[in-house]
Amino acid sequence: MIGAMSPTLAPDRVERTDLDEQVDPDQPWITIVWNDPVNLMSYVVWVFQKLFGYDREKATRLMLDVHHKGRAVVSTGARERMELDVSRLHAAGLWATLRQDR
Amino acid sequence: MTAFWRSGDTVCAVLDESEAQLVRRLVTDVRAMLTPDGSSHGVPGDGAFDGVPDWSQAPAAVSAPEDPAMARLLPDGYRDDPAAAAELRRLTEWSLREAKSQTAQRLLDSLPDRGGSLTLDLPTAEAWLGALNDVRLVLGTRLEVTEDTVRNEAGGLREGDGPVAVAYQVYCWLGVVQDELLSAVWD
Repeated sequence: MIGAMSPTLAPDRVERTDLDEQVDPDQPWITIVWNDPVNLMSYVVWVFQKLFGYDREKATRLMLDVHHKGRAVVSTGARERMELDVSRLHAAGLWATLRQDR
Repeated sequence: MTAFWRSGDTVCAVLDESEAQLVRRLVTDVRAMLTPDGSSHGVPGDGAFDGVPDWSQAPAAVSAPEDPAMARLLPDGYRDDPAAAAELRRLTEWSLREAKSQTAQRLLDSLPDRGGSLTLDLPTAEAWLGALNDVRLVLGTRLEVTEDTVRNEAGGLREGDGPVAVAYQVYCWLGVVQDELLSAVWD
């Protein structure tokens, strides 16, 4: 129960990314979920399963990456598709952004 | 005391009258924050709002809300590209507000005023998960909850019986409710 109730990490633990680097226009875009102190770990797993159709194992692994590393890439593809994924994650209350992979 | 369990394709729940009224007030207030004429600086639980939102009056949104709780409900989609973030927000913020508002309304429509037992189909139970989560995001942001808050059992947040301590108790209770509901949805 305690584990299930634990939140993901606090935003102040998140590293800044540096987008000043040049990006290759052919590189795909990625959707990143960032840690936050409110969302329950169990809820984050459920959202990943619900939105992306991931099995429990993969959804749990991604949630743990968010929890321990501060963020996880949860989907990859065309920019418009990633914007849609970000909107769906925001609708579910997760903190997500997209950017081009590099 | 609230309880949830799975029964076939439905989730059954029991809520006390006071719990039902608390959930109704919190969800109603968050829904009001999201609507075009709602206050964007409200605190969940501080007042009722029963108007029908007029989404056609929604102004185009171009920057993240100044209120941290609203900014948490409606985050930027790009972290380091303000122009792209503004454009995505212009295109999507009001549909996101509307979706969250409809999720909240679905919970409210299924919640008996006096509590008691209720039966939720799975889409409605999932709407409960989302609506309760939005309330927790607002309360958690207002309370400035951090990972340390949880690890240290809230420190000062839990002291005394003032409004902050009460709000933190509500926040924790909602987390338990959401987790139990999720277990029932998952069964």
